[in-house]
Order: sequence, then structure tokens, then C-alpha cells
Amino acid sequence: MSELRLHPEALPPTNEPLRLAVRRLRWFKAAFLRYVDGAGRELGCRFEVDEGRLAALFVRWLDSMSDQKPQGRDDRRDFFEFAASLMLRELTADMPLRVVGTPARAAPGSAAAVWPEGYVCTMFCLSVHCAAVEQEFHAKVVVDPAVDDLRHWWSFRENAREDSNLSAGFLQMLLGRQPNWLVPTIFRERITRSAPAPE
Amino acid sequence: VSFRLPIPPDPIPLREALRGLRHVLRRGGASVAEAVSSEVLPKPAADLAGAVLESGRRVVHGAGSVAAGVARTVLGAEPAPAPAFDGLIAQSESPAKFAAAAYAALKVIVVRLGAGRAFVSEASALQAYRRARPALIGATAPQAAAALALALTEARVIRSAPADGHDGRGRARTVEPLAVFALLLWWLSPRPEEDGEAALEAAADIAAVLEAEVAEACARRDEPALAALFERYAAHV
Repeated sequence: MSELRLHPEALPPTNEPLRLAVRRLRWFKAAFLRYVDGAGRELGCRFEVDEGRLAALFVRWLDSMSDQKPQGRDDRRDFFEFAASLMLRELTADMPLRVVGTPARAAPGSAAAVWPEGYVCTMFCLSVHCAAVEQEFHAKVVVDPAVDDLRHWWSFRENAREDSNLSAGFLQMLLGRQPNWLVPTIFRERITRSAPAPE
Repeated sequence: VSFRLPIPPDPIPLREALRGLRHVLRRGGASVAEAVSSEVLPKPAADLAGAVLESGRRVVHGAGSVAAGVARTVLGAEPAPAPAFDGLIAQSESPAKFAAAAYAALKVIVVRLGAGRAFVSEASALQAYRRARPALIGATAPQAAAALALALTEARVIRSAPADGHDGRGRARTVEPLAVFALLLWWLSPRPEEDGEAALEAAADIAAVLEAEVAEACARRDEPALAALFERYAAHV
């Protein structure tokens, strides 16, 4: 498992279910800032956050979710995963983080050392998703071992630069899914077709 | 010095006058400092100009503090909790409560929008609410918010100079419709009392993201478009 563990306690307290809290900008922002701050301490660097970008990507995320939200309860858990992958898509489309200094405590050659911003954003999405799934479905999320494979991270970074939609596929893969790499951000297309993973 | 007036005055016009005085003093002081920079003057003129400017700044600061102090101690300008939005629609809340809560919230919002120097008018908020009240009867919450937003914009509850508003990247923005939209978005949103300032900032941030839609809807006085935006985003503050 990668260096940053998935800390549910890193998320701010809320009296609401997480699935609701995460869709409120004030909680989402507080959670992101707190997570990033903790990640910076663990990795031995500091991150600057552009709060304007964060708000803009939050609104885009809301819009893209509400446009695709399924009606049936059968799809509910799948949609939780899908929502987390859309969040990563928005974070990588207009990265709100900038690392200041080098992550001195990250293992050399690790994903956190090679691409700290992308790594922290991915782990944030996974952390929120894991906490929400545990709360809603009383289930533990198992993250795919690919999370520790630097080759996947190189591929993720290069592909996200070309097309941020592929970030969604990357997160779905980390959650053990076979993403539809042609249209990884369209919920109803998630299973019906599949295409080979990008090189 | 604390004292009580023998006959309690109508507090809103007096508060407004004192705040106006404070605004002019602060704004004037800042304008002088911006316009006259002693750094570009040769010595000894620079030293003399610097001393004069410093004295002026102290006078302005002192006068502004006095105005603010009088507003607080004589007229009781402590912010009260914002009444529930349903109470505003049902008109079970007084217009004065609406205006006081709107003023306190807008002061936070304009700072978040990069327009801390803008003047917020409690008296205009009062006037706008009184005017909009008939339109609120039977309206849904988003419709009522839209009607109030247009009334507040028309009453010029925010008065700012064109250069006042800016985003985090230094781009100019038109503050008035955004601040008013953020105010009503915040008012509609479900939130615990302790989330006060964080919720206000979140509402301002969402308004800033929706700048183009909000500005267009306000310019066209398009109530249904504004109501649709309130309905879509109020739960996400």
C-alpha cells in the first residue's frame, strides 16, 4: 500500500452523512485543505491551494454528477465509485494544488515523489470514497495493488495531460473495475463496452 | 464614552449615516495614499510628504474608529442571527431583522469577492425587502430568493467602484449581482449556525464560479433563470 494511508480521521467532522456533506462546498473545501495539509506534513513539503479553482471544479463535479445520477437504487454503490472518479477527473483537469519544495519524506521513485499533486488528489478521492462507502454500505473498500506500481502513475500522468477524462478511468481501475477507456466519464457506458487501457 | 439617547431613534438611518462617514473617511485615506506616493519624490520633500501622509492616516483611522464605535455603542449594531428564509417568505419576520442580517452577511461576502472596500447599505436592504414583500406571497423559496435578489440589486444595496472587485488572479469582476446572489444562496442553504462564515464564503465562491450566468440573469431581470440557479445550488453551499 502506498505511503499516504487512507485516514478517515483526516476528514472534518460532520453531523450529516458523508454522501451529503461532500456535496457541500464548505465541507468539501475544509476536507480538501485538511487532507492536503496532512499530506504535506507526511511527505515533507508544502502545498499551495488555489481556492478559486477548487470552487470551480467542485461546481463542475456537481453538474457532471447531477446530469448522470441514476434513478434506480441498484446502481447506487456503483455511482458512489463513479462520483469519486469524476472528482479526480475535475481535479486533474484544472489542478488546484501546487507543491512548494520537494517532498523530502516521500520514498525516492515513488508516485508521491514523482507527481505529488496528482498523488495527493488521488488519495484524497480514495479517502473520501472509502469513508463514505463504509458509512453507507458498512463495507471496506479494497484498493487495487496497482496503486503502488509506478508504471501506472506514469501512464496516469501522461494520459491525464492529454485527456483528463482518463483520470476517471484510473481511479475506477484502482477500485478494482475494468474501466471503459473510451468513455470513462459516462456512467451508463461503464460496463457495456470496454476498450484496452491506454499505453 | 457610553451614553443613551433619551428618545430611541430609528437606528437604521443613523447607522447608515455613521457607516457612510466611516466609509468615506477610510476610502479617502486610501485614495490619498494611492495617489500620493512619497517614494517617487526627491528628498527632503519625500520626508515631509511622508510625515504629512502618516498624520493624515492617523486622523482618518481615528475618525473611522470613532464612527464605528458610536455605531456600536449608541445604536446597538451587534449582528443578530439571520432569520429563517421561510420566515421571510411568510413575512413573520420584521424587515429590520432582514436588513440587519443582510448587512452582516454582505460585509463578509464582499470581502470574499475581493471588494472589501465596497459600501453595504442596510437602509437599501430594508427598502428592497419592503418592496419585494408582495411578490413573496405564495412563491417557492427559490422564486422568493430571485425576487429578493433583483430587488436588492435595484436598490443598490452594494455600492462599489468599478475597480473594487477582483478575483484571486487580479481580474476585475462586477461585485453587486454576485454578492446579492451569494447572500440569497447562503440564506436558502441548509446550514448549522456554527458554519456561519464558512457557509458565507462558500456561497460567495459558488457565486463567483457562476459569475457569467448570474450577471446575465440579473442584467436581464430574469427571475426564472435566477430561481433555477438558486434551486440547483442552494443545497451545495
